[in-house]
Amino acid sequence: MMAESIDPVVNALNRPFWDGADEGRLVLPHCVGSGRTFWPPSPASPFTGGAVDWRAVEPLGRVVTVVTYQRAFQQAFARLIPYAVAQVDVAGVRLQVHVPAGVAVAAGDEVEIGFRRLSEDGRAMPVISGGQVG
Amino acid sequence: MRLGSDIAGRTAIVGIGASSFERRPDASVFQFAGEALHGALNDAGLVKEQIDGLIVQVGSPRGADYDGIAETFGLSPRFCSQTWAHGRFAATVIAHAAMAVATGMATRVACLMAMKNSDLGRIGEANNPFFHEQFRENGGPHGEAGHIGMASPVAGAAMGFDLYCRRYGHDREMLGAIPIAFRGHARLTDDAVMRGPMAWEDYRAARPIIDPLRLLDCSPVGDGAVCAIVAAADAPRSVAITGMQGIRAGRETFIFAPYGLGMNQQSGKRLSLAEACAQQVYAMAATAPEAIDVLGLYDSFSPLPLYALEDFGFCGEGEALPWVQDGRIALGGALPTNTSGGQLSQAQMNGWGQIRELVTQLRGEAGGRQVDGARRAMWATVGGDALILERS
Repeated sequence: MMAESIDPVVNALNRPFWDGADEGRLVLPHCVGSGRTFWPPSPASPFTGGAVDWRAVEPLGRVVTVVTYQRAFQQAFARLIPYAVAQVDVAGVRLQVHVPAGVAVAAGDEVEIGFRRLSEDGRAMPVISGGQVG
Repeated sequence: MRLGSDIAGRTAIVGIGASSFERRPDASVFQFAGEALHGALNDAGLVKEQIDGLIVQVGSPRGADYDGIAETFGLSPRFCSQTWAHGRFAATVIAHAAMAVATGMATRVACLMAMKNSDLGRIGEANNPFFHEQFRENGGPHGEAGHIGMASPVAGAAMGFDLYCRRYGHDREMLGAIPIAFRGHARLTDDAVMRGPMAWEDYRAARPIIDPLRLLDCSPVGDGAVCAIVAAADAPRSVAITGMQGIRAGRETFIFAPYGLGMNQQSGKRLSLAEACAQQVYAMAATAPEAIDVLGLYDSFSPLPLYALEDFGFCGEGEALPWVQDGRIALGGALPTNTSGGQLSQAQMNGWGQIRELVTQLRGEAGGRQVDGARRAMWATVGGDALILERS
């Protein structure tokens, strides 16, 4: 049996995102050649095959789709039911973020992505914490 | 030279076999595999020494791997391959077998999907060997992101369906037409695991799992095996493989959404109806959606058939949900689909149950489920893989 954990894989490829998250900043990979952001992380631009750098972006986006968990699959999330997961268009990419129970968001809403721990000893995760903004 | 003209129709499914599909926690996956393999050999009138190719769809930990299967059953294949331990590779396996036969790398290839789930926890939970996949780098195979609570394949299916309904302004309640039609078909079999009646009120009352999907939108993962033998198309009861298309991948693909819908990094640009009707599988078989008599669609979750119907041009973008209402995909309707109950009701065999049913239909051996005059059958999935099969 696998030990149950909710830690993401953090390594040399994706560490800028997680380090940014710890500082409350949304940091995304950019294609140096075209200037475009992209996701998921890659050592080579998915557009040009060329160089990549990482930059902080405005964490303001628009919700594309939301699903709500009515059943827990992971022990660590059982106490958070009914939480939701949303896809958000932000800074030219589409990211998946956690939506805590009680935070009402719907497709089309303008939201701000923040970062917070979802378990006591875990890392800061992308979340929609404030609901609609602006 | 026409696309695929050196392979279209040259090979065939010459034998098909299956185990029973009920959950058997005390059984070995080799028992399921043996029932399917020997069933297919008997069906084809072959002996195991005539098998010189083996392609396995689900290996360990849910299934058995190609080497163990060959050793256990006394096969000596000279051409072996194996895809990953999930579904979605059925047509690709058949295509690979057809290529091996057409090029002479093998003469008779056993394509075997065998798996046992009854002694495992649910996918997404920690006591299932796939638990780690929700933490796969750059995302799980169905959009999982375990670190934010996005666990289980059903989440990706729910998300794709939420977006589909919003984009095209559909009422999610219409989705019941899919599991209800397939359950009606399963009730006409003697081997489906879900054979109780399902009415609209049962569907509406089903327990929510991940909104907007409910329990009856999810296929029950179980135990069993299916084997198809691919060889040259000259055997007496063979069903010719006239069109093939492999699974696709890329930034416009999300496994539980139509091409381009707008999940993950999809651009939002869908296939036009003309592009859908020009897919390789139709060009290879020199046919078109309107010439298909009976259809098999991948349905591990009930929204998925909608996307295959659109991506393969049976109807236009955003039209499939209204299109499947009022019995259109049921036996007796315009396009009978998953006529043995599909993964949702017959058995979650990664689509191999539907391929077996298409062979049975084309042979005219489907009994009370028989589609009159079935001559051309098609298998298609949301992942982009497809087969066209024709009575030889």
